[in-house]
Amino acid sequence: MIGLVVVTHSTLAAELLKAAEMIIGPFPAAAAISIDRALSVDVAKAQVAEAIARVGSDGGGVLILTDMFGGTPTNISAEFLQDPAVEILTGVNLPMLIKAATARSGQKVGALAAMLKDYARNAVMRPAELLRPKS
Amino acid sequence: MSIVLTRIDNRLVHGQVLETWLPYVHADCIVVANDDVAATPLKRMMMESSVPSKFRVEIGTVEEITTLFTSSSIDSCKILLLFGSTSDALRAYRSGLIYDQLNLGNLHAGVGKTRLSCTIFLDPADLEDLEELERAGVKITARCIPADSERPWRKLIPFRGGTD
Repeated sequence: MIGLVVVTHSTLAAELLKAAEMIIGPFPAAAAISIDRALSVDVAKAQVAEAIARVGSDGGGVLILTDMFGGTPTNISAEFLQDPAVEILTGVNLPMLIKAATARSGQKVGALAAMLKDYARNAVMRPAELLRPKS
Repeated sequence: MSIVLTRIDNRLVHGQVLETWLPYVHADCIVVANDDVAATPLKRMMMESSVPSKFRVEIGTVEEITTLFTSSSIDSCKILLLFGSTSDALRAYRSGLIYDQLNLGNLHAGVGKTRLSCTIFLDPADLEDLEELERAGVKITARCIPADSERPWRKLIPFRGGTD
C-alpha cells in the first residue's frame, strides 16, 4: 500500500490527519510531521526520513503531502525525491488527504499523485457561483 | 543597486521570506549565496520555481554572488540577500560584498550551538564571525519575521531563555 506522510508548518499536519479520520475512520500507513519555528532543518529531515521508512515499509511507495510550495516542509521533502518510490504534492487540503487515503490501493505512487493533483484543485469550490452563475 | 535586506537564514528561501519579508522590504530580486544549493540541481530548481515570476532570482556560490555584486547587471535591483550561515556572510563581506545591516533570522540548533532565542543558536565560531562583522561596522539585529520586534543581537547574549 502507498504510505502517506503529511508535512506542514505547525501542527496542521496532525490536525488534518485527525480531521480526515473523523470523516472516514482510522486508516493505516499515514504519518504527520509538524515543523515549527524552532525545529532545525536537520532534525526535521530526520523526522521525515523516519516517517517515510515507517509508512513505506511494505515497498508500495510513499506520497508526501505538504502545505505550500516554497515552504520549508516542501523544501525538506524535496530531498527525498531522488527515490523514485517517493512523490510530493503541495497544497494539501482535506479532500486531497481523504482521497489519498481511500484511493491508494493497487495504484502506483506517480499515478496517485497525478490523479490527486487534479482532484484537489477541483475540490476548491465557490458556492456562490452555483447559485449565481457568471457573477 | 540597493540591498533592502541582508539576512542569515539556514532555510534560505522559504515561507517566512516569501510571504512576509519580500513584501515588507519591497524587494524585487532575491539573491541566494549558498554553495550547496548552487551545486545541487534539484534544490536550485525547487528554490527558483518557488519564487513568484515577477521577482528576479539569482542563486550562486558565495564567490559567484560576490562577483555578481561587482557587475552592473543588478544595478536597478532592490535586493533581498540571503546567506545560510554566519561564515558565508563573513566570507562574502571579506571578499568585498559590503552590507550595512544584517538580520539574523533562522540559525538553528546543531552540535555545540547554544540557544539564544527560539530560532537562533550560535557556537563560538558564529560569535567570532558576527563580532568581526560588527567591528567592520555592520549593524546586526535579530528578527525572525517582520511581526517580531527587532533586537540588537548582543541583547541575546548571555542566554536569557526564549522570549519569542
